[in-house]
Amino acid sequence: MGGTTPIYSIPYPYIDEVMNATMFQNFANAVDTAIGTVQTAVNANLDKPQVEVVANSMAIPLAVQTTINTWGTPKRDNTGMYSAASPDRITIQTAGIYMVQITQNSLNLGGASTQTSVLWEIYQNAIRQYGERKNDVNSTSLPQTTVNGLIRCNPGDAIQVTVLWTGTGTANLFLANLAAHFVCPLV
Amino acid sequence: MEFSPNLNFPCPSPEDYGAIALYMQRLAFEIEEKLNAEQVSANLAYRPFTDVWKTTAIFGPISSSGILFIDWLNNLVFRNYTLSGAPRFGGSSGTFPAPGVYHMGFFVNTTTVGAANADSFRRVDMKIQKETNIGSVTFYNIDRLIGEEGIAGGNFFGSEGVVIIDQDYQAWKAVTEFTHGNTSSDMNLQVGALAWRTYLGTLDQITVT
Repeated sequence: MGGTTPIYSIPYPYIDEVMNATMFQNFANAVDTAIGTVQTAVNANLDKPQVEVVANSMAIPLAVQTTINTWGTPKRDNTGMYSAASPDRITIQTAGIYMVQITQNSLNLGGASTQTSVLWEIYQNAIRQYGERKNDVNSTSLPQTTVNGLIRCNPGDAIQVTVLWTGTGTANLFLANLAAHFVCPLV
Repeated sequence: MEFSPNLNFPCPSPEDYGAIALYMQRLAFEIEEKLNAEQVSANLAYRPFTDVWKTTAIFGPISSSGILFIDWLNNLVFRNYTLSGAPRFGGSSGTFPAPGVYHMGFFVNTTTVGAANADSFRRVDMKIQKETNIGSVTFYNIDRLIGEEGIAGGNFFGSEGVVIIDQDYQAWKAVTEFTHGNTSSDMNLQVGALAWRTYLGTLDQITVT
């Protein structure tokens, strides 16, 4: 019996052993397995869980915190975080720290409506995580809001986005973009 | 003994046939060393040094003439490494685990205790500083300043940025301050203030051309 290396257990013969083909085969097999192990670690970096969904139609009542519930088919979703049956959320499938962001989020005001503030927030299991309020808007323009932060997630966690605006008149969702990117595992 | 051209794996010459056992042993250990280095790098990329802090109590009140230092230290909710040196994310040095490039940021909600002064400022400034022989020097300000508009619920805002920490990483620290100009009443930092830091990469990979 020969020895083995300490990490990947690559076998090698001792100097007093009679060499045979099996020894070379075992050596090659162990190297093959070790390379596969490393490749698996590399591949994990190339395919981290991620999702991005977009919504662009929905009435948003004045002065009522409203959950966006018209998220559509994902631009990307490699772990099934989006389900058309629950278009008001994305659902975490893999435990980890996630960078959750909303970008370009904005409302389209109707007629002579005005907007004095707009608050976009990210919720996890109905608990507010973080958000951004734009004050002093005082216009009919489309102030866009981008919010980006890290949160700790477990499988089944629901990530949702709410919007609350003040002013006068009516508004529809113009564009909302929600994305989650896996940063690291919890262990 | 001959060697492969790139990674210098050893190969026996005809006179070495008697030493094949030694050859296989040496080759096995050299393969292992190189593969393990690759795996360590891959694992670090999969598990970048990351911290997340989230406050569980109201901070304040603080007057318009004061500075509130946000205590992330006692509000850690996640860390995936063992921090050597001072385990602080506040006023002390030694707050970074290694040299490298980091993404950092925060989100807060600030509220007034009493009357709110229209358009008065609220500012959170995460200063990334290095201790030097002339004192603490601020190299980065991850900050945000907004104006009060009297909307119920408070002012929700945040900021983020990328910072580079040099080889003298234990001399670096992050200090987060909240200040405001609401002279009519003090202000609080509400529960749930969030901060994070995650490692983006090593300085070794940065090439200036």
